[in-house]
Amino acid sequence: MSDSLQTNVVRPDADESSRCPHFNAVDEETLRRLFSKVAAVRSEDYELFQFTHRPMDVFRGTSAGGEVWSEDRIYQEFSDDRIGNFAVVIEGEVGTGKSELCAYLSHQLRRDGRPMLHIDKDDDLMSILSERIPKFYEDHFDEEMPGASDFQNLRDDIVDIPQAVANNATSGAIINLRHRGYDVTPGRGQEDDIRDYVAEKLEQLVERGEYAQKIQFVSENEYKQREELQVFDDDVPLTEAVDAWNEELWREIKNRYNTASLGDVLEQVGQEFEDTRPVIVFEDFSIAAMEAEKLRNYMERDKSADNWDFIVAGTRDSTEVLHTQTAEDRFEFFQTNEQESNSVLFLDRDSAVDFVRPYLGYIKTHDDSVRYDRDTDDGTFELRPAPEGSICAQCEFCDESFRDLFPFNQPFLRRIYTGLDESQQSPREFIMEVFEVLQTFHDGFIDAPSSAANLRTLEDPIYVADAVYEDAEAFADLAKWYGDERGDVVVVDRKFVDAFGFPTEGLPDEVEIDGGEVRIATTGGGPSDRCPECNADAWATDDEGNRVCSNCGYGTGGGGGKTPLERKIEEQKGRVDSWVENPGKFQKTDQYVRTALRDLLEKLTDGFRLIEGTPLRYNLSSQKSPYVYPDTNEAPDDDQIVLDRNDFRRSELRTIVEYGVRLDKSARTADTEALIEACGTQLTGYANEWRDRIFETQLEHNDVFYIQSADYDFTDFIVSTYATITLLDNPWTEITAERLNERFQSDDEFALNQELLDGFQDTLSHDQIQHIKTCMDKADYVENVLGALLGVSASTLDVPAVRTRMERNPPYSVLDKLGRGYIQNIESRVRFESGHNIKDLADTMYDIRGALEDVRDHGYRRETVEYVIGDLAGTALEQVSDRYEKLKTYDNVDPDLTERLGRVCQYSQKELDDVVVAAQLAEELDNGDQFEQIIATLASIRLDNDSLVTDFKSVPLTGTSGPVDLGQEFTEVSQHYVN
Amino acid sequence: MSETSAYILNAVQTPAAMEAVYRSIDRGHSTDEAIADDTALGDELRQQGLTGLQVVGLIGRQEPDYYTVDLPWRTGDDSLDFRMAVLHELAVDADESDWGKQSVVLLNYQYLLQKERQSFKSDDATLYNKMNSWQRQDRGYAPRSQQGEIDLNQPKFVNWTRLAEHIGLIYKASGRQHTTYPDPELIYQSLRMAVNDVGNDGRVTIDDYVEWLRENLLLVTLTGDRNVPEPLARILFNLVRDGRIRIVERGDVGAVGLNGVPRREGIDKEANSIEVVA
Repeated sequence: MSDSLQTNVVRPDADESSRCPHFNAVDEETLRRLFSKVAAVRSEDYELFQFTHRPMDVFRGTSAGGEVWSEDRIYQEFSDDRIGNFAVVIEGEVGTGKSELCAYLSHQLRRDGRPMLHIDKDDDLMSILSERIPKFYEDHFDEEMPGASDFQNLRDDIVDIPQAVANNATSGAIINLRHRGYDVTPGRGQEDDIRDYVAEKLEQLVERGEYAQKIQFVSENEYKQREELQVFDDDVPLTEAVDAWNEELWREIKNRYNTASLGDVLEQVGQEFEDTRPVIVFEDFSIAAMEAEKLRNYMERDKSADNWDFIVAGTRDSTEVLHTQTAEDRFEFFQTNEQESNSVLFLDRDSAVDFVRPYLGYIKTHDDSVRYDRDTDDGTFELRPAPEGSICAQCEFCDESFRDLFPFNQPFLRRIYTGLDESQQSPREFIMEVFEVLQTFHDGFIDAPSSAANLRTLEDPIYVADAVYEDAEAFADLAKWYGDERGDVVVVDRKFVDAFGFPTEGLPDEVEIDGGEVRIATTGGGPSDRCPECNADAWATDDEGNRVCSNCGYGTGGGGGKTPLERKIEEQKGRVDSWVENPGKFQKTDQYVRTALRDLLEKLTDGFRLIEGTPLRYNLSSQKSPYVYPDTNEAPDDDQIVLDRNDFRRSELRTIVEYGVRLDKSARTADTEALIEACGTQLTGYANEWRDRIFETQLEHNDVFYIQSADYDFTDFIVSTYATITLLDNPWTEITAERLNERFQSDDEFALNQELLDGFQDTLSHDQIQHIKTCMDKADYVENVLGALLGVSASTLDVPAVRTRMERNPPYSVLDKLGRGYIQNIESRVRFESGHNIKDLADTMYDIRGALEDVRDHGYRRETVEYVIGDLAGTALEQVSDRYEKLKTYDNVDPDLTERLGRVCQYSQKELDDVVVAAQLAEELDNGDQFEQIIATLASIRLDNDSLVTDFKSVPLTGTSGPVDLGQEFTEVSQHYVN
Repeated sequence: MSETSAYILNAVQTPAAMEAVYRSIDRGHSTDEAIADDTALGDELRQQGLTGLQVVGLIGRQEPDYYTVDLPWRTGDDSLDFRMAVLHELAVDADESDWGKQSVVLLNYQYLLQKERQSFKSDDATLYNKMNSWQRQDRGYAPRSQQGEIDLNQPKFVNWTRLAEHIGLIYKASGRQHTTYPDPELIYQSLRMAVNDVGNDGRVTIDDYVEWLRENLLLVTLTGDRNVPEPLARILFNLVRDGRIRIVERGDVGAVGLNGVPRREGIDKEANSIEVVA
């Protein structure tokens, strides 16, 4: 310990930039070695390794879950008195302690004086044969290994003259293949290509790392993709062809250089050790596929002269070759992690702090500030008091509960571990997460470790009041990571606030600071979570997952603690902060939020209605969210809005996620009203945005409904459609705003006028008539939407507004600008109800416009109009009836005449007048614009098929050429017939 | 406060009739007959429109002709201009020392704002009874007819929700369910007007804006801890989000908070003013 350290100790709370004085003395290299991902790097420093290594337990066998062995028990297996080869195979997922166990066993065996041959994870077959083993041999026997030069020659030739080596190997392999009976006859060009390919592969062979997993000249994919390799007949199976290529190429190279296989070399070297058993350690087993089997055969063979101990570590994929029945019988297999998980036996929630403790404590060991009494049985550490004169003794800043852990404390470290996704709770991930926080803090990028960015996506159930997030975010982080929950507050040791230079004034009311601690309010006002029986805050979880009070036993046997639903809600609420940072990582939470928001939007839009109180709605897919987040790469679809998670307060998001969980698990307990009460204004904003979005993309976009030169909108379409429907319902009145209002106020059902229908049979096709009927079926929907757009009340239109619109955008002109292709751009999801969508309606209106055009061109019944105006106008039915009554008294009147006259006398004068007015309207509009001509035509068709008109026409009158009224005509007729 | 004049929550069940009638008169249809011809409104609806406009103060009458009072603002949106005019007339008449009879329209809304009620049902008797009590006890407002004090009841409250929805103060979700949702465009335009009237350099202090609202549009006050009530705060937040305003700290005026919204870019921590951006 240097004097300078003793005299220049600056406490962490001395000023804003202060750090733990120990960190001023540690260099980055030490830190990086300390927290290296690879245990081997740390194990290079034996003292460091010893200090930080924590005894490990692993599963024995070829699968996890069985017998548990300690590392010491495994070490005991390496007896000097063994006969034959022996192997310990350590299997496990990445970062679960395989290398750590290798390093432990290596250190122990090295201390026992065993010759250790360490195969690095970056070594490949060539480096093992040409460098590692020759050097190992030379180190122990002070002479060059016999045959070592062959490997060196091969390596040198590949480096210096790869093409020549490739020529040799290719030619030889082709000849060998032919000798094996394959009909292999590559052309010259093809052979050259094969040589180039082999040369490239050979160069890769000597480039370390390229062949870490597998050495092969030819893979199945390469064979399929490289035509030059396809030298075999088509009937040779792919696997056979690939194997044959690899075997013969490798055979040629080995024969050329007299190189032995790895197994042969090990046998040769091992036999040189007479009084001890050499140990070979494969830290990350990735031997070339071709050689691995030979090596395994050597390892598992039952030959007493063999004397190697093998320590092989690797993922199950890489050690698969070792799983033969013989090998499984003779070797000891161990699994570091649980099945389907990265969890290990020596690291869990309870041991997490002690696991990482020596790593953090090591930084403070150089002056003996930190020393432990270790209990190797349970792996716990007891921090010894800092000796007098040490930095910690002089500084005296830290509480003993976190002196070795500073700048962390125990809750912080435990929460990092528990915050990791279960699949990531491996020793390496845990250590790396801690190191990243430490590094970021150490480099000065953040004021406190709790504000490290990498923590934000970890799950942490602690949360605090909104105001703390919004006005004192660093305190929210502090609470989440350092805090201790006590009822409605999270308590943090004030020392951390002082150490990190946090302000202590101007904070929101939810943060209280006194001399010893900081109390940060949680959401506040919520129900107490203490035991209802004894009021203790001592919840524990029993074997069945029920929450029980460990003080009084409340909840034992179920029924006392929180229900599974409540626990699920608490769990999801605890994830909200992390979800906000990365919703993609917390997909379940995201799903609950999406479920909730979709439901709320659906309720606020009354089932995704586009206009309140109307049947017009958007049938949003049940699988779809009505929104996307702004920070994803996902662009919003036409039926989605952009919704920023940060527009919500955290408390709102927790309420929303609870709502989502309840909808999913117990829908009847989801309190929609309470949620809308809590954030109704905000949600209404989204509902309106969503509606506007549908209108913009589906109903008001330039690419929908009308050809692009048109300047009409959705309301114009509805008005025009309603005008057309009204016309088809009764074509005897002019279509004006007043007329539409009159029809709007009527309770009568819309229907295609029967006389029109009769008349259409002559003019329109069956399909055209069908379009018209279809349109009439949707009349009520159209009327409803029109009322919402231009109504004063449920039964009255805003006539001036309709009038203005019709004058500006005449109905027929609007329909005339409909474009079939543009109509197709409307999603069929915009609908009134299933089977009745806006696209179909617009399509129908397009067809109806065409039909009306045809009617106008061919359907005007001029003769009928003229007949009505000429013959029926001015007729007084009462007078006709009088004459008819007299006529009946005569005996010799034509009975046909009396019958027909009798029929017309059944009509009322009003009916007759209406017919005449209709005819006059038709005549007047026949010279008008297109729409007026259509009205005229429809009016004439109805007249032509009207029973009153046809009945009058059927009366067998004579001398009716002049424009005289029927009364006069009738007088003459009666005189004519009466004798 | 007149006992004989009509009480708007009794007289107007269909608020849209008010605007239709106002426009008709404004187009020169000054007699009842002319209005009827122009609008095709039935007698009852037409009468609702006329009465509503009269009690609000947007039309007057010089027998037999009606005449309109000019709308105070022109925003380019005729409907918004009319709705803001209704609020303006009501606000001008809503003097705490001498309430206008129709001040119930604004007072009901103030209750929702100040109590931060973000949703309600139009048949919620508990709510309208509380509003009634609050208006009498806390605000000193007690409208009278010749039959005595007029209390809020379900029909009147339903009529109020229709009027408030039509003006753009609340949102109808479905059936009786409503949310408190001031029309963002109305609030934005009010900010522009306030900046114009009582602001400087394109901004207005939040204190001045709230006072301007009280005098011109809506009855609202800051909460006890100097915060803008949540429903209004959320609309301001959305306007910031949409880049139309900023809520900034300028000068030495005391800071005002926004209830119920998170921090975001465009809202200063110690904000005291609102800046109209676009």
